[in-house]
Amino acid sequence: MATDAAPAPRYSLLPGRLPAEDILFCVDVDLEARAEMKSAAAAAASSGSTSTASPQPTQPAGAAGGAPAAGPRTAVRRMDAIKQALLLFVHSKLTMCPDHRFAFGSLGEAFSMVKKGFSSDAGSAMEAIHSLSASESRYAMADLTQLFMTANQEGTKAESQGRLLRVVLIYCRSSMKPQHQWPVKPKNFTLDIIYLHDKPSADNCPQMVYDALVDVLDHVSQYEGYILETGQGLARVLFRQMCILLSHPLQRCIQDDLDIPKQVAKKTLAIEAAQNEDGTPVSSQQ
Amino acid sequence: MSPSADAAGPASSASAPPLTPSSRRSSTTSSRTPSFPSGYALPSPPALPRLRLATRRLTWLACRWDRSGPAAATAAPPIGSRSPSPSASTTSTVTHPRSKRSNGTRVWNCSSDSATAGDFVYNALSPKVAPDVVFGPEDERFQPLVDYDVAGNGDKSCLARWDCRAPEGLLALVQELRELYIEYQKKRVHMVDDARVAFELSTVLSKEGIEVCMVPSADRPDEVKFAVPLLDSDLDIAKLVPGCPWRLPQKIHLQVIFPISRSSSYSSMPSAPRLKLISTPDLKSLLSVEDVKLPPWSNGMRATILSISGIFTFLVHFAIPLQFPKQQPVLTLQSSQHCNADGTPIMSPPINDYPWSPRWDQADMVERIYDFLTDECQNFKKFCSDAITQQK
Repeated sequence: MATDAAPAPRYSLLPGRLPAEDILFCVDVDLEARAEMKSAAAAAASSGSTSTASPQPTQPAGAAGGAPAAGPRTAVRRMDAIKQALLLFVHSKLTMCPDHRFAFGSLGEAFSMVKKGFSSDAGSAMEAIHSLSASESRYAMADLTQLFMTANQEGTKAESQGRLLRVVLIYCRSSMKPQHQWPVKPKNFTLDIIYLHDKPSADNCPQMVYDALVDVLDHVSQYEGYILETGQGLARVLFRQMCILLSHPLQRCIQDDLDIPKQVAKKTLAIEAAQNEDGTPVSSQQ
Repeated sequence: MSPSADAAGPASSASAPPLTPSSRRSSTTSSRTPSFPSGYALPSPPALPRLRLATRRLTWLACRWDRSGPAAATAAPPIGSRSPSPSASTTSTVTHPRSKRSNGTRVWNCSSDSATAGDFVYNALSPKVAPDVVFGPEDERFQPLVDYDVAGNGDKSCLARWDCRAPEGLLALVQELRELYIEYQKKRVHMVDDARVAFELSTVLSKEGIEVCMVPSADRPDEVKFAVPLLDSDLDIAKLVPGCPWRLPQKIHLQVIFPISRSSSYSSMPSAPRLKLISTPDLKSLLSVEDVKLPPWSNGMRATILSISGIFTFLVHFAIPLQFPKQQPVLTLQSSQHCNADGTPIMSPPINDYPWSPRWDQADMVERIYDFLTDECQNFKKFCSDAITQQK
């Protein structure tokens, strides 16, 4: 960012008790969820002197949830990374507050739940996550109507219990726009979207799909929902994006102002560096 | 400026830039201010006027009159005396709090579950004389007329200008005594030697309408009671609803009762305060305060931040103990990229031995924790990759 750009508006966290969340995950199980992710080791090798070179390759856990992938030669697929990201989310969210609850579903041509009902039990979440599996063929459509119907019903229930309903859609298709017949209705759930796609090419249209997803978000989301996308194929980017979605909707700034996570840098480093260079002390900088 | 950890990192320089929305997201989404959704269940019922805390009975021995008061001419026993006044019948009568009142009429007496009793007593033989107010034994030290003297600014109690013909006279007296009583209780509570109560007082009393009082008890430790009005005083529901039959303003309070810990050490966890909802009777017909399940007292607060060092994204969980700032927050780092064999993210052991002083001001505390974490996350990154290597 240019140092002379206008500073981001100051965000302040208002005191208050936040309602616990019921979070419904909808995972795209189209063939495209089988696409390979870039392995971190390969990324490190190809990027040369950039900061992505991390000395230790980080491999997501295998699809079965057992031992992590053996090495750079084993392909890690989108669905594997998605599953690990879901586990990361559930464990993190429960560490933050054990009252949050989760439910899981898949999106083929339409939406279907893995299991009825929300639960804060980590074990049952892990089971549901491991049961997801990507199809071996492409679906003819991606219809979100049933997802919104379910979310709307659960949203009403959640409100009556003093809870907040969220939907997190993880979408993987680079050429298929999602569709729905959801009418304009009072909004009672917040939608977040993570879009994993291929690099734009002559054979696909991820930009159009992305725009359609943005429209969906605006159409249904009660509070500020985030749409995060990546075409890089790096699992660690997906994990970082999942962590951003850990934020409670009532604590969020608008996406335009979103600038987390920020790089840590010791405040005293800048002063020391300046001192080392020319030996004269400088006043502390902001 | 450190590189953005955005998807448009250097690694993707060979690939297309990230997708951008071709149309601005609708302003309704972007500018919507988060607000608690309507229709949620309690604990915030619709706004109602503030409770006058008429649940306390005010009892005050009207022995001390202002020198210009109507009964000044007559000698009266000093405050604290419980024996009936030996004076003539033209004086207001001092009565024993719980004895039969043969020559007075109880005008107003509201009892509460634990507070002292208060009786406003008119002398039936001299109804034009201002009433006596009789307080209970726990409030021996409540000397409102003395307070006027001590203040020395010329203020006087409305007893000093008692006009038996004024219809609002009694109400003015009740309000005056109530305000003085509130101040008296505040002072009593401030003298309590309990760090948690002191902390609550310093942070909470500035909010309008919160009242405190001591709850002395023979068979258990003394307690301090906070009454938090849940609704704005200027909202009168009777006025909001046409044809509402309620004549009195309705109020609802959250009552928080802290037991006072005798010792000032923090070796034992102070017990959680009791929480209760109290409302006026008409309101109970709408909303049963007994059935409302209040959230449990939390054992400390938690907050989590997301940070990144290079390409290592990590979370830091802060557990803020009840004895904060005397006790420092416990930090736990968690990786976003490393996990155990069962898929659980790798976490650091809890850290509570970093440099700390409760005397630092808040900005200082934040900066030092931040600097500590900047160093510690490097150790944690190594800890994670070692753990992964051991798994293989």
